[in-house]
Amino acid sequence: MNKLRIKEAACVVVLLVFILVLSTQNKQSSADLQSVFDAVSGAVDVSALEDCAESRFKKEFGLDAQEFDDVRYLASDDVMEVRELLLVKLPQDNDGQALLDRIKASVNDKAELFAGYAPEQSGYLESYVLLQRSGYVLYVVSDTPDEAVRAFKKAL
Amino acid sequence: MLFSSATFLFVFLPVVLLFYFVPFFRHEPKLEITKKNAVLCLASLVFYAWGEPVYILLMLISIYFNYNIGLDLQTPVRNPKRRKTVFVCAVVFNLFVLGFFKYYPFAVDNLNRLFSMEIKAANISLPIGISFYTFQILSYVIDVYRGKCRAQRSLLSFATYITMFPQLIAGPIVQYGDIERQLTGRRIGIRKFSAGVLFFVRGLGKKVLFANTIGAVYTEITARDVSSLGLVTAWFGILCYTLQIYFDFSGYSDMAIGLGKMFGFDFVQNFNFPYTASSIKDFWSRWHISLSAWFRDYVYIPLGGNRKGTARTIVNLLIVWSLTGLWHGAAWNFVAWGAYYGVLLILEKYVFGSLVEKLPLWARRVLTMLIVIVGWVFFSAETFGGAAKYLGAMVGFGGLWDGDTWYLLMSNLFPFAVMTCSALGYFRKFPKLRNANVRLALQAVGYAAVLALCVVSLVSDTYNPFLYFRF
Amino acid sequence: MKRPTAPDSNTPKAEKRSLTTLVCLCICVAFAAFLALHAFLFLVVPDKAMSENENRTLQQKPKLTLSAVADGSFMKKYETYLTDQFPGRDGLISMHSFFATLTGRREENGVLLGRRGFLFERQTPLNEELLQKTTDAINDFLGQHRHAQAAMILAPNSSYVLKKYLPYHIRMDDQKAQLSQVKAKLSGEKFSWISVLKSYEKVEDPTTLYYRTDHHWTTDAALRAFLALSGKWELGAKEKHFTVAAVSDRFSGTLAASYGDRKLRDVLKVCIPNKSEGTYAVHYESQNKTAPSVFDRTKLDQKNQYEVFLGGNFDKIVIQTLSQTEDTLLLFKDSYANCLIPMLTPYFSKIVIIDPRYFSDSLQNITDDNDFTHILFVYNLNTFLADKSLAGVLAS
Repeated sequence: MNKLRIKEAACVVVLLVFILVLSTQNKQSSADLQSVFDAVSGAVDVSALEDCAESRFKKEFGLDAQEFDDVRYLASDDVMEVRELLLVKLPQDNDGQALLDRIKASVNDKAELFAGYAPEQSGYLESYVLLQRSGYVLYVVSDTPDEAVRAFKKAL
Repeated sequence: MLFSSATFLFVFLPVVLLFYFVPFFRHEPKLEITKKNAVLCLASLVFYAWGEPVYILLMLISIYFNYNIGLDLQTPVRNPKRRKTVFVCAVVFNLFVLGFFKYYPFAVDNLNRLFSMEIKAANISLPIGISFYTFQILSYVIDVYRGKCRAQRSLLSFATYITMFPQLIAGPIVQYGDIERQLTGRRIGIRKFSAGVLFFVRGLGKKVLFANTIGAVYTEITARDVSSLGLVTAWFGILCYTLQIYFDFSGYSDMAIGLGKMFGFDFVQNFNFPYTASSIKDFWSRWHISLSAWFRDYVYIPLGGNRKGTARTIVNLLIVWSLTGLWHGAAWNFVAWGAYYGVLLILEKYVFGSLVEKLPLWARRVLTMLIVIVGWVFFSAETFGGAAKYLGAMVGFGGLWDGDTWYLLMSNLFPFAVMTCSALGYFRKFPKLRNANVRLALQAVGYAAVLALCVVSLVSDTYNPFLYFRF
Repeated sequence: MKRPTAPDSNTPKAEKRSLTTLVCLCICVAFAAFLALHAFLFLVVPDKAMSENENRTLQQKPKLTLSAVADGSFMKKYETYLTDQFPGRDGLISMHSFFATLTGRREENGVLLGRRGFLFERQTPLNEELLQKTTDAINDFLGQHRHAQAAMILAPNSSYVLKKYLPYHIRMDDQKAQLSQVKAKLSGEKFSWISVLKSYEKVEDPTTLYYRTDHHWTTDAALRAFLALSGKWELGAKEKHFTVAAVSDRFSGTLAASYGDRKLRDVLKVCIPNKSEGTYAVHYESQNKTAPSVFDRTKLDQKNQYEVFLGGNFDKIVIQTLSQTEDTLLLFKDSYANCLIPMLTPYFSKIVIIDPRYFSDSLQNITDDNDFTHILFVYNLNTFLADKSLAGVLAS
């Protein structure tokens, strides 16, 4: 009989641990932006992209880069080059929802723009990746988005 | 994994059926049924993990906990108070799991609004089917506590009952008492299997051919600006939704019942032509029967039901129906939808029920449907504002017609008519033949066609051409 | 006939029961066979890389990795893999569109099936803000090039011109009103608006103006518009100066592909100027290739035969002709212009064609090097109203 109680209590403990793990999964990562950025940019082809200034980030997503801890944005000036890579470190008190919404709006706009005449570009935009995890936001449009995600998760 | 997916139909189901029916222990029926349960349980775990690779842990914890609770409640003790403590702990545990994973973000959001606080809710997604399996577990714990059933001694049998993939993610909610015997001994045979096949194909047809088709029309209509929606279009839209939700849900239940029969189980009927109901009470005895029964047996009656006077009955009804609404989703519009039915049921019971009964049957049915349809507006809208706007369009704020009304009506008239007749049960005894065998054979041919059409439809839904359009 | 039988097996009731069992057995076997057959076909039929009908790559079998399972991407891809590689997929899709049409449905993938086999695209709604941006950019650009003759050919779409063939009289926007709205926003000293609708008036049978299976106007319609342009610009072109010849009677355009119906066919015509002194060189800059003709016959053998005009769409094409004229033309266009460009060749010594959606260079470089005497915009209303790139290019 006591055995049963022990098993029940064990279940409760395991449940609490499970919930704890789930809810801390999204806590700030200790990895610094540069190392995460290196990992991600190593996983995708960024040869055609250049490091963009904060103004470009603002133009593209309508948010001030100062709002965030750190921003790295790779894109190209070529209109037919849709591939891009954005990595943002969120401050403690910012859940990044506004940024995620802006990015979604931006990628939808672009997808609409290229739909119907540029198959390759549309394909990239369709398989875009937008992730918010451990205090980072990752946005990638690339030919190998899965690899970027893998590298990103690993780096955290 | 959805039943209406290629992965389920052409990979998962064939493999599971194969392992289930190839006898491993031909001469030992006891071992064979254990093997069958094991196959079913393992398959169910894979099925669940396919959609929720992480939350399967949660389900396993829940199963193991409640299995032990069952044994605990079964052990004779001298002190009934301790037994009660165990029971209360178990209920709290299960409600906590459901509450945390389903209602936590909703609760935090409301607290923040109420007290203008800034608590941040952890980003937790809803585990599929948690509302269904938690309710099944609760029915088990409560029934064992009440002494209505004996605790399940075999962990495998218990896990099979909870995880059983046919009803795991969308019901029907199977009460433990209904299935207890079948877990250790059930008849599996050609007749039952073939009945299961017909049930399954009928459900698949309802979901793929009916619900998806008419649902697309509703989506198309609500994608427009609601304020310029004509009255006719708005009504047509909500009627489409009315059909969609019925065929979707009852189709899923039929598939579950059918799959259950293939594996030898008999589940309770979940829908009984709800749109032919002649009163609201009647509607709820025909719609999602297993849920209404659950709330009746485990909430309404324990609260005292209607035995403690009018005032108490009204309060009980309101509690039960708000909870029913909340069960459907963590949002206020669901609560409102539940309360709407609660209030109407009370009114029907005490105010206008006797008046309405004097009306002819067809008038009562129309009246009931009107109430149900207006209810769906609350159910389908994401916000109160959205529901109010849509109701506005239904009374003509956007004019009588709009540019697309005629086109929408004409291009969907035939499917709409067929589905309406089907929902009203006109095809129930089709074809009308005396010879039951010929009828069965004809039905089988019809269902074969339905199955073929479902495959055509499932594959074509993914037709996604990339065309050089914008030039 | 004295075989030993079970006690009740010769009563009619028992016979009936055994018959029922037989029917049930058939059902079970048929269902099992159905599942087994498909599972078997999946195993045997080799995977395809591309779908020609859908013009996209198909999902391949996803790799099973722990991380792909944990985040659910494996399951998602696996489902897409099964449906993409479904045996007989193309056949099932055309069957579906056939059944859907039978039930009265007239729309697939945003394409409407009208009467007499006409397929229609839905219209782009007019976005006031976007239109203002584009027209402002055009006006500014024309202001910078005051000396040049300018014109705009803005073609309405078949859903307006052939509206009586629309299914169930679906009501669409009034493109005539939209055209006047665009016209009112454009201004310039030497700018002329070509009214395409007016040029259509003389045509007896309006169904010759648009393809059934494609969203483009026909070469006949383009010729009408060109003659109207010639009147405004005093090019002196007459209908008899051109030969319109059919090059394919098996043209099945994008609308047919979208609708999933491959039975409908159109006649594809080209228009050739009779004065052949305009021998020319067509230079595709980004492709770094030069062709001797504005037509690409090889495209008639492939699926999208409309690419016979100029070989498709490119960011910048320069056509040099031997025409005895000093006139040069700068053309901004969408694909509606492709069938019209051959008609222009006798009247200009040089034509620079810009498709703003692909063009990423600076326009300044081109206008600095050339002194264009004519500037022309050729669009159809649907793409023009949705266009987000023209304004940017004109400002560059």
